[in-house]
Amino acid sequence: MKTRKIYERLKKAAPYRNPFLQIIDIIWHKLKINTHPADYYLYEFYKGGKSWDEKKGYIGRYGSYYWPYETIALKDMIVLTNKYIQKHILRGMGLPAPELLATAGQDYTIRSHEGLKSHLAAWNFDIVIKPISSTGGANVNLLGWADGRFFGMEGEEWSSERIWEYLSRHKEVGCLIERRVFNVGQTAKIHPYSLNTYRIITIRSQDGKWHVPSHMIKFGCGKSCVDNITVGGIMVNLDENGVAIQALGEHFTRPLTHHPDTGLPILGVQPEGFKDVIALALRASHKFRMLSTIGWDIAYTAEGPVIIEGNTLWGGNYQLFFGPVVDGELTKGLKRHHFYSRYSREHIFPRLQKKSRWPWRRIRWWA
Amino acid sequence: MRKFAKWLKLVRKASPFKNVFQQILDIIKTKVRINIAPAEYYLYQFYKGDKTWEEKERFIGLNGSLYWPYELNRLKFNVTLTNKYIQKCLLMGFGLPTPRLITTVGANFEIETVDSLRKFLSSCHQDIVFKPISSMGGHRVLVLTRRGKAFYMADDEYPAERIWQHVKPTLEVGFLVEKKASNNEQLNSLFPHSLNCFRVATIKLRDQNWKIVTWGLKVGSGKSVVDNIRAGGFYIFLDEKGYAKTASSKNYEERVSHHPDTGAPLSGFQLVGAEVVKDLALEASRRFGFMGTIGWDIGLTEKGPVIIEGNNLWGVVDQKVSGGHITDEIAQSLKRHTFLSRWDRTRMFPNFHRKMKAFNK
Repeated sequence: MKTRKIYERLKKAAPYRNPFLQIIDIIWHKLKINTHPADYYLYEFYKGGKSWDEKKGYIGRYGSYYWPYETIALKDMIVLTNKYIQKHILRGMGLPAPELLATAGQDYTIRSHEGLKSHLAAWNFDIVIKPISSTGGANVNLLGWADGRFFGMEGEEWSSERIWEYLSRHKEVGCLIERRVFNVGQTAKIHPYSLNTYRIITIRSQDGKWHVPSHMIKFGCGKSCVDNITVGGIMVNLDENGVAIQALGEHFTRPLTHHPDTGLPILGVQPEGFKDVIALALRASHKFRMLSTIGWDIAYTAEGPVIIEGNTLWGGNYQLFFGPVVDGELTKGLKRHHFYSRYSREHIFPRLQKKSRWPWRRIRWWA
Repeated sequence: MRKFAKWLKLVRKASPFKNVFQQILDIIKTKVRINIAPAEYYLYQFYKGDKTWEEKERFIGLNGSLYWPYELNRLKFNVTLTNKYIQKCLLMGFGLPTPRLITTVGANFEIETVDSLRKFLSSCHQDIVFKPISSMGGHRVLVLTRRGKAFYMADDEYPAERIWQHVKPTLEVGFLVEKKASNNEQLNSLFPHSLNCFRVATIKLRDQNWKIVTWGLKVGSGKSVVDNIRAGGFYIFLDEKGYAKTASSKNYEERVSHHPDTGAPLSGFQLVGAEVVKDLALEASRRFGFMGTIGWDIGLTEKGPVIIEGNNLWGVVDQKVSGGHITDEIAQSLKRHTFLSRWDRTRMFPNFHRKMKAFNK
């Protein structure tokens, strides 16, 4: 499977460089700017046309010249990876976030069908159910309320039994139940089914200053209630004034000018509340001083910007089209890595409590 | 050498009860049978031979024991209690009563320089507490009282420069500045110079319900502004209804009847309104449902109980006096460890977050 994937990449790059030249180029990129082979193909460095200085600014998940993830200590990641903890920390820090109505799961408040029913009876508004630990908008459910009943995105009724069945499936991880928040203005019109959020990347440089190297907005597609790219959402690059300059759909493969569902223009649009959103992202980053880079998902609502969530490992795939994250002043404030730099990937991928890869270590000889 | 001297002292202390050879045999037997480490064999004075094996099984040892509740706390969640800034934000986020966080001091925190500290102090007109974001045993805590235009700890004046000198060595870690909480009248009569906190240890049982393992009251002494035993405080053992049974000092080795500073009795009285402390500990534990066991420090003020902090590794030395904490009910929810059990101490002592030299200069 892995061989096939590598073969496909080689084949895709073949019109630009033959396999032998690709291998030489990969080694050269690793030596010069510490790019991992996977990122070499992801960012299509084989095509040429980019200067070394430009390429240095691309952040790779597996290591790169500038690598802001490294300063997030593994022990602190839980403040964002667990949404239950994140939600309460946000509230404790006085940062705006959608109202948390209840939690469900074996360690949480709703633990029985009866308990759920009593909660549901008290809610006469739309709710969002999301697992406490998930990525890419997986298993997020928006339930609309009408006449004392809840309905899904397709208009199908969600009885308390069905909701309980859904919550039971995630009881180990647990679920948050939040009050739905709404976009306003043009952002709401472009795709009304989903909550369309800004994706604001913040990075702390070595002098302690927070920077906003990337600002984008995401729009959902189809009948999806989330705007994540993994479920077909659209990523839109915004310039410094918050005006949409590039849009990509279908997993970053299709440039767009208009939303495919509503037909409304995306490029040239200035989504509401851009400056407030940036200010909130910086304020929140200052409060989360234990982290050094955060990808904020912030929605602009009638009440102002609200933080939907923060992400420690914000995906950088969009850099292929929108350009490198690190440039300008930020290049002076980040540590530079060389090919001989030691990589402590434990900082981002916890290896703790995992089974040993060596079979003889898995055997409990004494048992 | 120091470690050897420490061991020698322990062996000598036990020698009136068992000779050295018998002690070694007994340590091995204790380890094999109830998985207690040698350090705790001496700590709980098992060499005295006044306890049955059933009684000894009930003891919890930090270095391992037959039942070991700390393993219920998963390492990845420990930071929610070990980092007091995160803990504070969580407590406030959960809506639990806790002294108000006024500001933070340290690198990348709200106050980063002596000038901004001076500015803050000149505009602050209440009693405040400076507390390190990561510390234990009340170490480096400053409790400052506002008198006129200056801040004092006991009778020492603390101008901005002096406070800055205090916080400067650990600026990277940072300090919380909280509103000072005050004891209610009864607790104040025991010792007025420290916030005397209840220590309530809770544990999550197999049915996901929380239960109180042990509780007691810590009381400060001398010139200390904290109530920690390490700082010379006293520990009052309470029964289920909040009646003060006995009190100990000096690492639980001496019984005391009255407070040496105030003369107040430390045993034989009923604590009024202490039940709310237990209720709050259980409520807070439910909110921290991702943990398995927590030792809460809760102050009781005139306005009600306030959580000072939660600890993932709550002390067990009080077992020296009270006996083992593990009841039949708790035992059913815990794994029984044998001496062959693999010991995953990384759960308790993470060593993976080594300093990043590039950033944490």
